[in-house]
Amino acid sequence: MLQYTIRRALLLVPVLLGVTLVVFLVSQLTADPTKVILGQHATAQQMEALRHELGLDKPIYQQYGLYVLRLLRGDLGRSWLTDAPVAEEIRVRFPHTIELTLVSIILAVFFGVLVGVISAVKQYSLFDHLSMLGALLGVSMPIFWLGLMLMNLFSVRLGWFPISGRIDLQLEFDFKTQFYLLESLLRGNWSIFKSLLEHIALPAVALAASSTALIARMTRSSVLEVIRQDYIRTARAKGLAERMVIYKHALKNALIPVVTVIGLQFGSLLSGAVLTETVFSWPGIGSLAVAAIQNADTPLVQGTVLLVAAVFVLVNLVVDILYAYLDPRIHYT
Amino acid sequence: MSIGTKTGPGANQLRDNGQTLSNELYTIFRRLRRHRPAILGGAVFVLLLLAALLAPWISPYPPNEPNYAAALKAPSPEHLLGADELGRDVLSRIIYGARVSLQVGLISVGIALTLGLLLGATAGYYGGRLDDLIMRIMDILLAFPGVLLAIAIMAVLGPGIRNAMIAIGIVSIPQYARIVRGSVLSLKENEYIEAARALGTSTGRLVGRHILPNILAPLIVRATLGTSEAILEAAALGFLGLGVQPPTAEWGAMLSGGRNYLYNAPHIATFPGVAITITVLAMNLFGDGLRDALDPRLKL
Repeated sequence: MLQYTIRRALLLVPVLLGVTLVVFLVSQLTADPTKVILGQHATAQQMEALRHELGLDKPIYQQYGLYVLRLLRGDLGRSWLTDAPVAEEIRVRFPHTIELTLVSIILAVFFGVLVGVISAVKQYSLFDHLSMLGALLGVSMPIFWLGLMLMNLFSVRLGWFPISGRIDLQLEFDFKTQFYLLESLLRGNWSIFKSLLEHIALPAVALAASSTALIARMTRSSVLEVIRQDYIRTARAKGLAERMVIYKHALKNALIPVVTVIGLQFGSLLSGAVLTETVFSWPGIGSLAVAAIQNADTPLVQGTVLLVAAVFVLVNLVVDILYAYLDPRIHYT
Repeated sequence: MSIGTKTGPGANQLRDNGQTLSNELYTIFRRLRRHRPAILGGAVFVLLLLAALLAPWISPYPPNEPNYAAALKAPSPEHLLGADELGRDVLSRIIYGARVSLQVGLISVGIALTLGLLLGATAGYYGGRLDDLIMRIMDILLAFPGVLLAIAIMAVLGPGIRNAMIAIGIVSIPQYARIVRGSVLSLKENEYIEAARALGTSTGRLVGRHILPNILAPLIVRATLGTSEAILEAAALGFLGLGVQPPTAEWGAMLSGGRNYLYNAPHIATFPGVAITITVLAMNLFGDGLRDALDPRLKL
């Protein structure tokens, strides 16, 4: 097991290097930095000096080498627009995305597994039909549209939730970290916590919709497959209560493939966060990336894309290892 | 004995393959016909395709012509789905938008399918270092969440419909390459492939005539579901302002334009989203049915 984990982790190195190469090459082809930084009216001399300062007059392989070396030191460069260090911008923004993604995944796993299990146990019932129709809708809806529709109904029409943003700006609270939700919960400040929950509710639901649908479908088919197995018949035959059969025997095995889906959903949630954050003006890394791309702020684009890809790859690794650990039939050789 | 003549064993093999293929197609069609949701999905898709093709004749108004007197008008007999902030008819723009969405969906899947097939077949057939190289590149592409990579590629290529197709196409290559490689790897070991090779069949012919027909099923299913994903991704690019540029009607961009009028005129943002959902739902229903009809054991 340990050997497997180490081997899988080592395999990450070339992939991550490849990711940096892609990000580097992509940004080489984007806007000319001298124009972005100096504006349209810069003289040729100024541009030359800046190119030298940024190391752009070196051969491309040297530039890439230097880029990787800087990355290894944790230096992501500076924003061309604000001159702020990219690492700092990301440090401030990323926790907001983490909280949004985590709340979404909790919602998706809870409701997805619940609906999936009930649908499977009551196969072909009205509940089953309706929830599978809902699941189909869930994966077919554009996430940004769902966000706008939720906003229209619950914020604009009914006024139950705030339209957008992270927190009610009239509330005063001295946050020590960027993990607002977690911090206010730990410090027991309930009015702040309530405001944060109200703000996160709609974006989290919008973001969670398609993952909930996928997890529900996966859980349903997985449970259906498992309850036809012999050992379930045995469990029933020996007189176990149906509840015990489902929760103790069936679910344990049925949830193994679901774990993989949940892991894969992290990637789509991070993708979805780009859109959800834009809709709800959520101050996370997704809206930062979109703004950076629109402003042709290459170092910021590089930093955000790199971070998301790295997180995605790492989560996939954890899922793979978890999967091998949960399913004893997998040989890790 | 030459392989090209009709009497050779190679020719028999081909004829047999051809017959089983048409038999199989018939069985598949019969199974698909009994799958009602799939038929519904397919029918809706055909209707959308027709609407897109006939757009100039069936849309009630020109899609890009402003009419300030009608600006922000709610749905009414004159404008069935209302008018947008410039008074343009929302229904007409949705019909024209179908052209863009379906084009991007189908062509980007075409790009991904072609390149994925070439790369996957090469990797699976030749194996060794070439396989390692190709699949590591695929791993790297898979390391990026789809929409984000598409956005980054659009940042390089610049906005526009052609670039959206390319970006979405590139992002989806690994899915096809993986399926093809896996199937080729397992097929390669079959005796009939070995026999064909022993008879001196060229590699291209071997892949085209003997291997490809056997991996069509999973590929077609993947492509159908891939089209619906591509349509969603195209709408996302349009929503972020990176897709088709105004004034061309595109569902994602229309939705984005309607954001500012949620309070006064929610219909502007609502209907393009309904159009996207219906299209994607239809493709998903059809794809699910097709998967069951082609091979109930397939899990994609």
